[in-house]
Amino acid sequence: MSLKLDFIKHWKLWFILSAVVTVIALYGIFVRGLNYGIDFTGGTQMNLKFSHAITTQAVNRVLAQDHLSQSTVVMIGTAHRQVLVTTPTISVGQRSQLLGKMKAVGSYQEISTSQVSSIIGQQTERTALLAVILATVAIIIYITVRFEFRFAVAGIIALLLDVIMAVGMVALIHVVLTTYFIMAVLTIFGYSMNDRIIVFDRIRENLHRQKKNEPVQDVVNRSLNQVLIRSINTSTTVMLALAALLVLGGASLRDFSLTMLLGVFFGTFTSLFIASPVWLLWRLRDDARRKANPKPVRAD
Amino acid sequence: MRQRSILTLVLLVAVFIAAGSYFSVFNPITNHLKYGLDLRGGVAATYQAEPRPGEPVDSKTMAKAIQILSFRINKLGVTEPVIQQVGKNRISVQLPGVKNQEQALKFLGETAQLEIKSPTGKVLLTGADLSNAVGSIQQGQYGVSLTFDSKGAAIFQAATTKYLGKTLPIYLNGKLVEAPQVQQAITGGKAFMSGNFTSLKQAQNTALLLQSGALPVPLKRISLVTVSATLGHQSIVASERAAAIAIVLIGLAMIFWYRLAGLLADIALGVYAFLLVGALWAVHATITIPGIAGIILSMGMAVDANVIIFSRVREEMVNGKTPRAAIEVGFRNAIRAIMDSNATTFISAIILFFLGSGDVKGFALTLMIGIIISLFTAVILTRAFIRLAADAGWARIRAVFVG
Repeated sequence: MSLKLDFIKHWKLWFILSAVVTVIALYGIFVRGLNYGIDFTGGTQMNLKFSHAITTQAVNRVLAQDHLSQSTVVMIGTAHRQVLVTTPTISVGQRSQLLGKMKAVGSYQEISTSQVSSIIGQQTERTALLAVILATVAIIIYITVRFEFRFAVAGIIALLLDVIMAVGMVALIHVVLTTYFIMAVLTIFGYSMNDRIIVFDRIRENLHRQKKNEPVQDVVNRSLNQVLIRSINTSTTVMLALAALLVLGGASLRDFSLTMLLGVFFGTFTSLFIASPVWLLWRLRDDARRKANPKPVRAD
Repeated sequence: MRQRSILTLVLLVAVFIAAGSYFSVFNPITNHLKYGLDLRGGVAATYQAEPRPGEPVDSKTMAKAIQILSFRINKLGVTEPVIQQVGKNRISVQLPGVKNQEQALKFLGETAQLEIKSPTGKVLLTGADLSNAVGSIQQGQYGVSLTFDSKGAAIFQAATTKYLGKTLPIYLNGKLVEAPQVQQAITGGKAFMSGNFTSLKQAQNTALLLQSGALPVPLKRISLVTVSATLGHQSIVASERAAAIAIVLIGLAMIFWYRLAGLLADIALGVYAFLLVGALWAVHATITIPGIAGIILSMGMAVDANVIIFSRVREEMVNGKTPRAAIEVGFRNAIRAIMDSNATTFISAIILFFLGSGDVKGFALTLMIGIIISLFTAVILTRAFIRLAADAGWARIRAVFVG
């Protein structure tokens, strides 16, 4: 309880640290690139389980016969019996032809297939963008109504950094993305805001009890120290749930769990080290301006 | 007062544990939940209407197309199929438990556009004039026996009278199937079409397609998902295990941080899990893999409120308040923060719900229901527990709470 960290004093350090992580994340997003799966690019993915061990070369040969050599073949598990074949968009007829030829490799069972047209992929991206914009606007309005505009903007800046960092790391790790990735990003939008609101709520409360001549910096610092343990604890419970999902929940949710896990982690960091200093710097600037002009133009 | 509190608390906890073990052992809810395709196995496809030029697709066309697809799916004998319109011009079809997936889908999207033309090429009759079509064998040939409705029969009679001795070509999907010569005027409104069918099954399929009527607009399949029952089962096992591990880890963390209060919050979390699953059953939600992700994630979030409250109570205790006073002040001060912080997650969930596709909607719904239930279990229920514990004198030892 005697924990007293000075979050504010080293704000330049935190900003530089965040900038470095953000640059790495941007490198991930724009240079390495996100590993879009067929949900975005369109294509067909087939999960086949053969009755005996096979080689990827054998599968590739069949694909090459059908001029589908740009497909990818990935072994699942160590028994060399199950493969995940991803091809570009193919027609219904092409698919059944391919499945027929696959019998030459060995007898198999079709575990699952998913086939997505690229029209859907484009639409998914558009919808996601719309959702992100709507969520941003809605959250800004909510925080402005419940708190103040400065909190809203500081919160959104931290949120965007959080999302960029998480998405950047996902790009670097190069997990194959499904539509659940978008679900994760949007959930981060709502959830990682929780932390900031708890911080802002405490700052707001402590501002009401601000002693005369107590600098705002001290109020912010006190607030952050008060919510620090809570902040770490709540993130930990959510991260425990996500870790269980990542390790045990099966392959289909891997991109979701990983993105959320990173988002919650960076969300906690940006709440403490970005959102509050940004708000404070803005507030101090406004205060200084008010002091310089005793009669403010705006009557607030 | 003190003894009564102990008694009430012990009774309450006992009731919850008894109810919990009843639900876990006999599973009256999970057995009745509706599971999605990804957990049950089956096939799902999305079709997009691709209108011919000059024939825009309206809601009537879509309704007709859905009706025709439903008829065909019925003929396939699928139990609990889901056929619904998505957006303006798409239809999503879900067929759980279908074995011959590829064939079933081919059958669904096929069109059987019948046209009988005059020798001059004018369309006289179409599939819409049929009252029935049956696959049959006539003179050793596979074919489809066509029966026209009264209006169709009248046209057919007039045509066979007018073009006696000439040919009336029959087209299927724009392709000439045969061009029989009219031997006599046909009055009964019956005809036999012998396409080049190689089996009776093929003729029957075409007959079924003709019966269901021609799709008013060509449908293009834009997505397909097939899941084998084995994979579905594996996913259920994997997600159950993930949920169990998550709840144990969260439970241990809470006890480690907040001792007795953490334990009481864990009991409330157990109640939360059952209420959430019960609520999903009550709203007839279909449980899918992302839905389960929502359930697991929301368990991590549900204790959020407890952590906020307990940290606050602990703070008040450290500041010198008595346990009972600290609990009251802690809860009161924490509720505002809890409401505000849950609101943003709720906003995101609403947006996801309205913009997301089928299974993403399930996730969003789970999240929304979860937030509401967690406000009850984490705030109201836990407060009742902790007040009782405080009255019982258990929380008087500060160490229990402060850790």
